[in-house]
Amino acid sequence: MTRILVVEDNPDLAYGLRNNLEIEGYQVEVEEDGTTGLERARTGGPDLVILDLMLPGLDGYRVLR
Amino acid sequence: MNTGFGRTRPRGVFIAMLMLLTLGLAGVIVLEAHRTFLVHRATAEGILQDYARLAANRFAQRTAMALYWDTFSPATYALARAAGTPGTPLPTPEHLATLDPRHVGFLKDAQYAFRFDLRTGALETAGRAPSRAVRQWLCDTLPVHRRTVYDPKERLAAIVRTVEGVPHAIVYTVVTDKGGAPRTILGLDGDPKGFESVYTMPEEKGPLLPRPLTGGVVYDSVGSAIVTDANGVELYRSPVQYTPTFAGRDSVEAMMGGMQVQVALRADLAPKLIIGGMPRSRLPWLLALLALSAGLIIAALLQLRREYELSRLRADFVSGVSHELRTPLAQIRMFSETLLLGRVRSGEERVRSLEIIDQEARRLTHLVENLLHFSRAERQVTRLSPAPTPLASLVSGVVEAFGPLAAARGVALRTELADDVMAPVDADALRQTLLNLLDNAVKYGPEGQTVTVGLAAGDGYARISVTDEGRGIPAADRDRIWQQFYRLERDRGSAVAGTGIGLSVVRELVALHGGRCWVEDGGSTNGAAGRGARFVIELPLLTASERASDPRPGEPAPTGAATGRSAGVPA
Repeated sequence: MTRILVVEDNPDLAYGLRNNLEIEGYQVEVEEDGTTGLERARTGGPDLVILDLMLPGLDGYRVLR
Repeated sequence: MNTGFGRTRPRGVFIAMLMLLTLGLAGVIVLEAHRTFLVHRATAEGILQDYARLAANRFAQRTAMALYWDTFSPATYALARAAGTPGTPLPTPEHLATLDPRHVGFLKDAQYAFRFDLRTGALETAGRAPSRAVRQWLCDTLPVHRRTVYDPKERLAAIVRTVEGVPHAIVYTVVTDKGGAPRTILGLDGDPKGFESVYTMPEEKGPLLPRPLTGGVVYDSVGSAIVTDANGVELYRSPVQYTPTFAGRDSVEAMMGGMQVQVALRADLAPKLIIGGMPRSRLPWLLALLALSAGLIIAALLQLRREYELSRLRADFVSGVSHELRTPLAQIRMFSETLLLGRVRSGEERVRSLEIIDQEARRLTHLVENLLHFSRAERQVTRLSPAPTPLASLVSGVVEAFGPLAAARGVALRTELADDVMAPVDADALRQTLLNLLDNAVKYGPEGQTVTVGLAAGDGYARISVTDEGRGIPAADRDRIWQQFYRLERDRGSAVAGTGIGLSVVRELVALHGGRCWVEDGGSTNGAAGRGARFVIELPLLTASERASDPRPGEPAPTGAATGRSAGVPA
């Protein structure tokens, strides 16, 4: 199953994204800040990362880099 | 925004450079002007010194002339006539005075007459006999003086000298034999203090300075004089003495006694003597001008810096507002689309989605309200309609409505409200104020914190406080955070989006109520992040007109009685 990592600090947005993506049949993981998001992206090996740009800790740009 | 920034920055630097250049130029001009003044003053002082020297010279000349014609010449003439022929007896000064009553002046003060034989060195005196020392001095001095100073054409010479502490004025003539060789010196010893009438001779005979220079100043009031003999013993001092700022020295010619003369010019005569007056220093004015321009430039530079700051804050504001608008909109769109597409797996999810839409719509409303208040405050057109309101119910209503937003961040709300506090407030404005404080407390505080809303009355004021358990506000920022667009450095560019206008709206609305607001240490001990912050707003319990008419402030306004007279509504 395709795994998607959502890095989003707004819980409502994360909730909506997770619901929608799960309905589409993806396995969704959510991280709330850049640091743990980066950590999970490295270790978990998701197929797709949906990354918010304004994040507490590391922001999206720095996570990308 | 950024391009605008890039353009204004060099222009500002250019302006600052221009102003600094202006200041530098002003400094150089001030320096130059002062230097010119110094040169002018030195020239003027030099001229005045020259004039003083000229006056001393004229004084000395005039003294010599007067002594010759009025004093020495008649006395020696009379003496030569009476005792010029060898073998004639030497007359006493008193006797001489009786012979020629016109020339009593010098003779009256004379001690004795003397005859000195140049070949034998014998000294004969008539009158009050001089002391041995004076005799010796006469014998030593006369032959030398005759050789070095005496001018046979003038037929007389004078020695003014102090011997043994007594001033002597010796005047003599030389009698020659048939072959023209000097044979005898005939003379008188008088008192040089008796020359006073010579020194004080009327101005008309010999003004100290040429009249064209002085412009007709009468007598010798242009200067004061001191006369000393060759030994420095003072012989005469004019009754008026001026400070010797501009003073000159000269001496009476040696043949007439060689007295030293010092003339000091009257200081207030300087402007008359110097064309255009003494140069005056403009330094105080110049320095004032320099200080003024420096002040202006500093003010301008500060203003310039403030403008940069403001433009930066506005840029932050626009980006903050955009972000704050976009996030709720994104959520509303996502959940409404989710619902429209029927992508909900349970009723619970459906309710949750609707709740989020509702909550975000409220957030947008609040944000837009804030912007409206802000823009009204900017244009100063905010109108309030205060009416006596029970504050406890209003506050708890706001807290209740804010509940879901707080819950979304896991924040617990607690209230400590005093009952029966009535105050004339504009309910909408106070609601907005409280929402701003609550929003800040939740937004900037840690998740899971407890935010406490307090209400108390006392001292004529109702006090509403919102206390969080966040990091608190640094003391240095506690005033600035109320300014428009100001945001704490730590929040700029962080994930917490903000517009920087919330607290400025709070301050504006509270001020319109006649109250005040501040922030203090939250005093929180269980807050993990810090001691927290307590935002306090203080609202008067009476309206402005009631405060003016009620002699007892501090009493809560009676319910109902004040409804008709609310502040902010013109009568």
